[in-house]
Amino acid sequence: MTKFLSSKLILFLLGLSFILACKTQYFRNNYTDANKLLHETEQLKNKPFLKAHMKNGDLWILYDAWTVDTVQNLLNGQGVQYNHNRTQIGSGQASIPIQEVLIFETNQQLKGKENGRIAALAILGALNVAGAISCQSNPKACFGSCPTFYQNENDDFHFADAEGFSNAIAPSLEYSDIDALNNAPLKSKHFSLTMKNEALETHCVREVQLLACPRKPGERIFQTPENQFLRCGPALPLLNARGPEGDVSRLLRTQDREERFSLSDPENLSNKETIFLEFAPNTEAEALGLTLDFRQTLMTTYFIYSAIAYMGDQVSDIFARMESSSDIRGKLNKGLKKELGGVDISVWDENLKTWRPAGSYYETGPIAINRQMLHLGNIAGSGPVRLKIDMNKGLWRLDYAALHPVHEVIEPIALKPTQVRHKGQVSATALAELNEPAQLLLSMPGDAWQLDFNLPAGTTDYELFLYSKGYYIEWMREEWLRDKNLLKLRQLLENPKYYLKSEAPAYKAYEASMEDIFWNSRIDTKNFSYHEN
Amino acid sequence: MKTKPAFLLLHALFILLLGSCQTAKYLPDSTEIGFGLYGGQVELRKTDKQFLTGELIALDSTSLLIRQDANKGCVQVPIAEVNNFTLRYARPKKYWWSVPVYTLVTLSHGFFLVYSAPANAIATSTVAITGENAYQYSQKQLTYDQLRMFARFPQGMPPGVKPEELK
Repeated sequence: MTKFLSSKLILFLLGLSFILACKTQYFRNNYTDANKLLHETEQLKNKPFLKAHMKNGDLWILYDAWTVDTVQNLLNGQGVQYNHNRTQIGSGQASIPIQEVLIFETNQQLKGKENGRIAALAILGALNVAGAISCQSNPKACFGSCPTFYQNENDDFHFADAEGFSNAIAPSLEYSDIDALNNAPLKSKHFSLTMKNEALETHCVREVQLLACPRKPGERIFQTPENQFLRCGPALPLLNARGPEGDVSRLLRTQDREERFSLSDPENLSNKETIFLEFAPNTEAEALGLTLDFRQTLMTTYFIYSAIAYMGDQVSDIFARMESSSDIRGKLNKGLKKELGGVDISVWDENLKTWRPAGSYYETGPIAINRQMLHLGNIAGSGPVRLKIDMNKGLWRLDYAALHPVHEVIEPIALKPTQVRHKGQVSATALAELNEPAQLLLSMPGDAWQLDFNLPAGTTDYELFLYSKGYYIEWMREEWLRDKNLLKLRQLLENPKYYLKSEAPAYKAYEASMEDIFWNSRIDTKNFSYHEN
Repeated sequence: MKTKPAFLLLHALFILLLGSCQTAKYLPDSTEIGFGLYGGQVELRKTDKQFLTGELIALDSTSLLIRQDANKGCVQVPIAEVNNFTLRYARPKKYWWSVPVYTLVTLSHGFFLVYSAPANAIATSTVAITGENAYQYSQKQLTYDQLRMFARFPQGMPPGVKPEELK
């Protein structure tokens, strides 16, 4: 449950219970005595209708101008008479002998009995409309992208374990992607993953494989940005982490989804920021690797969706041109990406008294947290290990940073799915499509595919990684058509530096609500990693 | 919050079941309780677990006379054999339409559907259920003496009127 939504939901349900919890209301009175009837109704401004239940079972209903003639002992008034089966047998002015009446009945009007329910539906309706308007004006914050993978099929996107090929928005941009699954120690030789399409997109999945690296207790295997797999020992403690806002050590010490992030620069979306890290000294003089748990904010999603919106009704023409022109592909894939940059790591060289670039992380996508290791080599010394992170402001969210001694490079075992289930049914076709690289598995919005794998016998435990390859087609949304702007598209592709500056005010306005909507729904429950140090 | 398909299916079935409940035609609309002609609808569970529902015709110190729904005729039930009763005195407002309508609206909430759909389903179901139960008293809220006021003949069964002749 999310912090924002849980508190709002609880408040709403409490309010709902309160307004629906009406007190018992008694509205009916019976009188056997006409004097008592007179006494209790004489103060009323509006006389109630009066029902006179007769000895013989008849019923008189007298409208609100009835009177009691205590001299002649008559009940007078205008009304309707019914027999014991409640068939109308008379109407008009009546003078009823009081001794024939056994019970006088009055009823107060029930007022406001439905008000609570109508108010609840009105409030809920207003919240729904606000949500719908918010999502329609900021669809990028509400609708996802690319296939998401889950170890627990019932999880939602907040708990996605991996997201595949986020940048591949056209067939010609197809690529493969490897994501660490950060799995718990395995107790079975069977492993299942659920692949979902949670967006308005068509996912074309060419391959999904599991990459399994045997591990012993206390060992971790990490993947580098170059897709090497490193067997590592226990982490060196993070002593200190400082960003422009001050101490961020608490946010980076544990894999708890409490992330360090910043908002973009209001002047220029490509402005950078720096975070300084200090780890315990590397007394064993081992080769070290920096593991970083990171993902993007919604900034790149905004750019992808904006680019498509700028294409307007020419989206299919431009995508068709892109398929046949490597130039456009290069501009789309490289220009903006290069300008924004990755998460760049530098190591402090105590001898040269300078920062030495050590490499960079880059993975597109705001949903699943990427867990990768940058091999830093040997940084021996008696003092703390000092690292620097340079990255685009407002683009990256960092959850965890740790230094591990690197023992060796290993080769993972590639495992193809042995069974695919869709809507509970085993699908041999889907299995063949995933295992035959010439074919594609098409996954439509709302689809969920359960992929079963058999792990090799013998070794007790494996560190697992997900390999996925394919591309996806974004569905054009009607509301995007009105944003057509080919000039801006050209700026985005050909002059990203200028675009990122000129687009800053629009993005800032969007970011405020988008980040609020998306990240206020972040996970509230502290969700520790299986491998937390 | 995790939305499990089985939960949603059960929820939908529950709603269909409740929504399909018919209210007795002899009950007045809630705005017309001042001139309703018939007795309230009593739902009664006997000590032998038997369940009866019908119009409350009359009540004396020892028994209730109920004209059973579905034209099953009148039956006299000794108060000693009544385990519990519920009395409905007006036709409830139906809000079941809001459950599918509001829940479907959450399709426009994108990702957040995983939260807003169950929240809407729960809230609208609550509204619908409380609406369904709005115009009724339970045994805890009504004594037998008060229950008498909701009979077609609060004065007692009129002499000369035979239960089997009642319509």
